[in-house]
Amino acid sequence: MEKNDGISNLRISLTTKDELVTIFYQLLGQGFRVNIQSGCSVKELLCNQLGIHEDYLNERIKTIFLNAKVVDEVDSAYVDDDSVLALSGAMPGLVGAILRSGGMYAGMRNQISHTINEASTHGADAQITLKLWNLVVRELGPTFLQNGILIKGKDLQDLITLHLEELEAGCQAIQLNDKSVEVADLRLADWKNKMISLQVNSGKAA
Amino acid sequence: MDKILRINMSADGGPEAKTEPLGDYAGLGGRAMTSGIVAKEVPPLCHPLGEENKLVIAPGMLSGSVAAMSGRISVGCKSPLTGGIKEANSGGQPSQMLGRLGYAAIVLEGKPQKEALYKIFINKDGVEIKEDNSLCMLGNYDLVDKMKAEYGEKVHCISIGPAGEMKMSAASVAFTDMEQRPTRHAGRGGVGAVMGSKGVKVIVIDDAGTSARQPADPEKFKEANKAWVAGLRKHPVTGEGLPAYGTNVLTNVINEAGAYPTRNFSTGQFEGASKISGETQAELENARGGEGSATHGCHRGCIIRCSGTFYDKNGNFLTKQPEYETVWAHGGNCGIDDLDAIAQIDRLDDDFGLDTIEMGATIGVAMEAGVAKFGDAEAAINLIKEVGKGTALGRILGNGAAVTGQVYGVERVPVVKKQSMPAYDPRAVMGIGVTYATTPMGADHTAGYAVGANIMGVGGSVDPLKPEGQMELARNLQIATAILTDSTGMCLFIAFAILDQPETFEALVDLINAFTGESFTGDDLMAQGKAILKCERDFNFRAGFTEKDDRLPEYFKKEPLAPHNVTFQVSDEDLDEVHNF
Repeated sequence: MEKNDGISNLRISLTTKDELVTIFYQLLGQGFRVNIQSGCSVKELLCNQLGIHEDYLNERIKTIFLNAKVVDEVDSAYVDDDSVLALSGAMPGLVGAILRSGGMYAGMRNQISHTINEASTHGADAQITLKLWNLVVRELGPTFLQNGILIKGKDLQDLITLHLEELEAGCQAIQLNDKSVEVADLRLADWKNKMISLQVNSGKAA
Repeated sequence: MDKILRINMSADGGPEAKTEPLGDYAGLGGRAMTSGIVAKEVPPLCHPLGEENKLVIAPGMLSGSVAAMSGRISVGCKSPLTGGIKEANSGGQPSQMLGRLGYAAIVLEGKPQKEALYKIFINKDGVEIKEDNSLCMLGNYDLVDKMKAEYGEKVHCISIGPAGEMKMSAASVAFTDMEQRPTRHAGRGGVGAVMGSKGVKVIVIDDAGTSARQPADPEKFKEANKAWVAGLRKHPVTGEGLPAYGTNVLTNVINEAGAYPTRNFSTGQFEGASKISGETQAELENARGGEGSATHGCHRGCIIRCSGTFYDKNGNFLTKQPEYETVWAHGGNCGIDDLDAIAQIDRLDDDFGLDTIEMGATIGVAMEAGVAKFGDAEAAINLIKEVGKGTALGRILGNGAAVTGQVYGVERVPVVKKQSMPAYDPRAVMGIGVTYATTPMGADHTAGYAVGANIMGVGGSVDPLKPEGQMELARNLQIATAILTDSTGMCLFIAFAILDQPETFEALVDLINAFTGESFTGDDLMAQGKAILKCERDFNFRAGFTEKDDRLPEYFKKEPLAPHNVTFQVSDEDLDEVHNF
């Protein structure tokens, strides 16, 4: 995903029926940008910066990828600017068990295990790509959407095109930079690779 | 289950059925039964489609009881695809029904003396075999509809489609699901071709007037079953992830790991993965609605319900929810990111009676050969139709990736013992490569499943970070899988709850003991698992296999896989250690 200054000039706020919020999970699964302070461990990022409870991290997030490698030690894997972090619940299958962070079968994929790294910067403004899947997106997705995510305009427009009828029927209010607009306006806008700050409000957020 | 039904297709005057006591096979179920019979009774050097081969269909040890998750069924023979011993298994209703009727196995033997197709009807009163050439080249769906019209709405079927009749090495045996649809398949190894070679199109089962098999100790059984169900329900994989998203929940994760074989194993990540992920699939199915859309069981007694029902854009039933292996095989492996197209192919596979993994891998090889372009969903659909019609091209494709690669001169053919690899690239996840290479079945992702070696008490000292630790884990997993899931009739997906929750493993052992009246320990079960593997491997050696067949294709050692640029690095010597027990 392309780099940007972390601030989007395009702010979209949607208020939808509860059942419609799941449509946006695909964006969370593809990956969205998050502003962070760099140089922290995965655990510090998730718990301190992104507000995920430590118990949730320990009990529900079972596979973590940092730059496409499986993280076994959340305290000693460090996140830098432009890192890609992905979070999954427990996975089925032999390979699901093998990919489990810190699991018994970790040795069966040691070529793709994340090795301990040093952060190149500490405390600087940075941006990462975050991906949320399966049970994790179901449980954390509404809160991330309510807090706002950064995504490519094209990704949002593709999603709108795919779910146009449902969104037209289920969106109760849409604001683009604080002005009311219609779903069709979002679909037809010339955004392409511009970054959008998207906020989705529903009753599902914790 | 106190009897075996043997049907001699060669008998003078037409096929002849007889039942006999279990004898040496007493106490066996599922894979233990199929491999036991094949290893003892089938000459290893026979032609897989000849009269000396036998097709064995065996419910699991607990099938027909009310034990949760116990409805899997095994199909075994000498494989026309690999040339070695084969066990393929399936869900669906017939396993429970055969268990209730008392059959521990059906063995199809010999070969008809004339060109003819037969249907076999089994109920509590006995067995009826009839010649019915009107069934010739019917797809599984039309065939089942015809059987329903003839035998009623409560029967279930074990059948083959045109691929089985044409004796293709990718042919499956279909089992009807709870809705009497032929959506569950013993897919691997060409078992459908062997059924076709016996001239048997369909076995219709009616269990009216029977009741559930009774445990030796009803009170203990009831208690163990309760603990068993509770354990499965509380685990996040079996209680939440699989019901919500099905097995296709793996797509995003395997893709992120760089282990998602893409465009015939040429790279490890697919840019269209999120469009065909389990999350997207569940969203689509839920939006379209309909009975059993995103969460549905494949047989009665299933409480995990990892399957679903795929309706088309107009709300019409198309197929069951395609599972991870199918979505990968016909999706990312062929560069296709359209769930509707993948579901259409799944429907065709089920109707023609084809293994979805083998066919997806085969089309990937064909695309690499230039027969069609990667990403061309319409071309992929048409190639499957060629198979169903039995055109010259279709007959090549229907005999699998190894044959197709040979015909078209493709080097990158992802097979072990001529069976196509499933949806995990062994260069990124080397441990699965060890299982692919060394299982007697040919490349198989279910052969070494995640049953906790630590819980079984045989792997406690294993250091998985060392190569010898990987070998030992792969070995223990194969042994445990052979007995705990493949032979009991339990679904593979119980493995996660057993892996993580010792009390749930104990509940399973208690369940087996309360049902059988035995006092098995974990060690006893492992010993049975070892015995199954040994007899299978012995069969393969007698059929001409050597250690050199326990290898991945050379290109996995030489061709780096993006994005991690890794190759398969387990040595041949280490692979040979897996069966050194």
